Amino acid sequence: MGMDDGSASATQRLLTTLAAANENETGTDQTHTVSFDGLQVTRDADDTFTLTIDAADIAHAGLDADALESLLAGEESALESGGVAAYVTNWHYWQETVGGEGTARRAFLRWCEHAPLSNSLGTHTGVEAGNTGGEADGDEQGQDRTLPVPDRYAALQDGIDREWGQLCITARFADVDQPDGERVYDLWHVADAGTDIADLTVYDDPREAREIATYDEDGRYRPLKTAPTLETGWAFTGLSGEELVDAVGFFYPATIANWHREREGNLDVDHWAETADRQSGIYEVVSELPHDAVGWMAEACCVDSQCLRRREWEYEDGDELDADGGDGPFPCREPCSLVVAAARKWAIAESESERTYELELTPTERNQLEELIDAVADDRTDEIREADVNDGANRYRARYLRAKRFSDEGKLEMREQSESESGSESASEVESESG
Amino acid sequence: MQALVIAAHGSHLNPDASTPTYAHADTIRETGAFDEVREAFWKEEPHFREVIRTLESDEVFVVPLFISEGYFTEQVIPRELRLDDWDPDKWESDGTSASQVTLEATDVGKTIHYCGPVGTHDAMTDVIVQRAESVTEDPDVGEGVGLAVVGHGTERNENSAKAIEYHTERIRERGRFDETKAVFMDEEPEVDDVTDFFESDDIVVVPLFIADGYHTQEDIPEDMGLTEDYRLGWDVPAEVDGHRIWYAGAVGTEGLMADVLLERAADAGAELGDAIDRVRQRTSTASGADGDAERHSQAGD
Repeated sequence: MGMDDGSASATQRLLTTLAAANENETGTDQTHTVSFDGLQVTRDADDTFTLTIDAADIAHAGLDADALESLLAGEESALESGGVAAYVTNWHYWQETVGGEGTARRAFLRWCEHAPLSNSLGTHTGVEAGNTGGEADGDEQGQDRTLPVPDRYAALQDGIDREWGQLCITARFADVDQPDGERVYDLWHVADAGTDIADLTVYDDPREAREIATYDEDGRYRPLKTAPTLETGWAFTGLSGEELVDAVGFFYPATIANWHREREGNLDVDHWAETADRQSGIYEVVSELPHDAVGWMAEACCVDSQCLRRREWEYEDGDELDADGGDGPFPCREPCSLVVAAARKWAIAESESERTYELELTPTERNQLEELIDAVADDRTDEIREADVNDGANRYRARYLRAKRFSDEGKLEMREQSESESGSESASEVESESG
Repeated sequence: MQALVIAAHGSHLNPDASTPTYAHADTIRETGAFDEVREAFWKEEPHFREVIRTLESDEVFVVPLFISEGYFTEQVIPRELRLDDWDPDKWESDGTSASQVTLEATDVGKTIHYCGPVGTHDAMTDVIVQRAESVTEDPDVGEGVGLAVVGHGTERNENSAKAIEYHTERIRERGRFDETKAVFMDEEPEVDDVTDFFESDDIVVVPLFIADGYHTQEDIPEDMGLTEDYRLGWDVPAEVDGHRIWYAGAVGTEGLMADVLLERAADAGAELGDAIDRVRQRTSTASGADGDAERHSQAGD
């Protein structure tokens, strides 16, 4: 019949499924349907079959078993637009290889190839239920279109790329020459999209992702997995769907689960106030962090330049923080352990009362303080050239300022003004905490 | 489907803190005894808070990779996992006898078997002994040798000392080492004076800690006089006050720890087939004793 093995076995599995469904029923004159991604095959009460693919204008009724098998396996190539065999191998991949109905893993793999997310059994419910695809699937960006089977099959030939934080995922056919519907996945850094694979270190065990994710390109430890500091130069190739999900889980733990919950409408966001109240031990103090400080903290730690999760938590329900939450695909549902640990430092620091200090600086020196703070805050110190004395955060400039303005004890010289009297007579030298 | 979650502390500062957790998880993954195996952390990711939702299994065994019953096992982990019906009394423990309690994680509706920490399981005694074999590279180590088991002490939690004393007593009863004693970082008898407590020329020192970090790689080596500055490293064995000190580093890095994790899950009803035997076989030769004197670990916070 001119069909390849993959298509043949997918056809056999589909026929078996129809038959099995029959046997599982007590009443023998029931009808049984396999309905998936636009394909609909029904075993009718009189033991004939109906095959329908609306999108391809295919509708055959009254088929006997041989005629059905012939149609399913198809003379046509699995690749041919609208080819029946494509729908059959597609059914086989999703229902037999991937399975996991309702799981985040399945939803994520569907997302990887722009498949409709909640149309798994042909019950067209939910916002993404496009039978033939082509509808927006409710993604926040509104640019996430789903594709019908023939379009996906054409795209899987070359590979479909999706971005997940700094990860680029390519879904493609395992066997391009004779596609049997089985997909494999490649995974690499988005910045390596244009790099020849020969120049990348290639891995195939998802657990290797742990090591890659542990250090940034300067060899510094990355305690925050979703920081935008993933190093480049590696690739995972030919992963199964399960392996892909494991690898993404090692790079960005729990992002798929929370993304899925968000799509299903049951993301359980814990706002700052709830999270702070829950803390105990040395972190109990974080609930004393002032409201304004929570905003500064979110601006300092949670924007896209620091973390690729999209902050969905606010101060509390109905009390939003001003800082930008980011626009990545995966949500942040509560302040993470790094934020809580930093909040402890700020909660203690913010319990101090403000004072007024008096110190002498030239206008250039005052500007330089701002440049120094900016350079550290923007993690730019490594980029400042040694001889670039025009940059206020240049090392020589900082050393000069220290030589000029620090006391012998290594403190910035300044006087603290008391509240009752201003003026330098009453001022005394104070020590900065960071000394 | 059944899943294993290894709940460990982790660190924001020290990448080595989670290394043993990953190593033991991988050993267990390779047995195939669980459909899913996950590492989860207080200070790393996935956080305790979000680990259960990453699982497809309905039945989850959570084993704390902690030394003793206390703040983390009784308060932090159950709270963060959303085990709403948890109460420390449900373990019915005397401080070292917690086995497991079955609860529900309220965010996901899964059955959670919340197990006692690895550090108090009887199988941990064997890991301490094997750690001594590892560091001395002597599978029969014992005769003419003293064994010091080092614990944190009671400063934070009285059960911490109980766990140390429990295993020390079990090893002593076996009569394998000439002397077996518990010493502590912040209470008498102190690890600083370890040579005062032993008559044996050779003393194997095994810290009952989960991971190498500030205490095991900086504090204890300096306090015992193995080295003046941890950054310079130390010899194994090192000569101190006429004794030879074989300093093992954290017991939690020993490969056999994977067995203790499995034993905890088995006690809680996990179906493991012959996985325990296979893990014991694979990890029962002394391993991981690298002395690691050059390590520049920072304290986990």
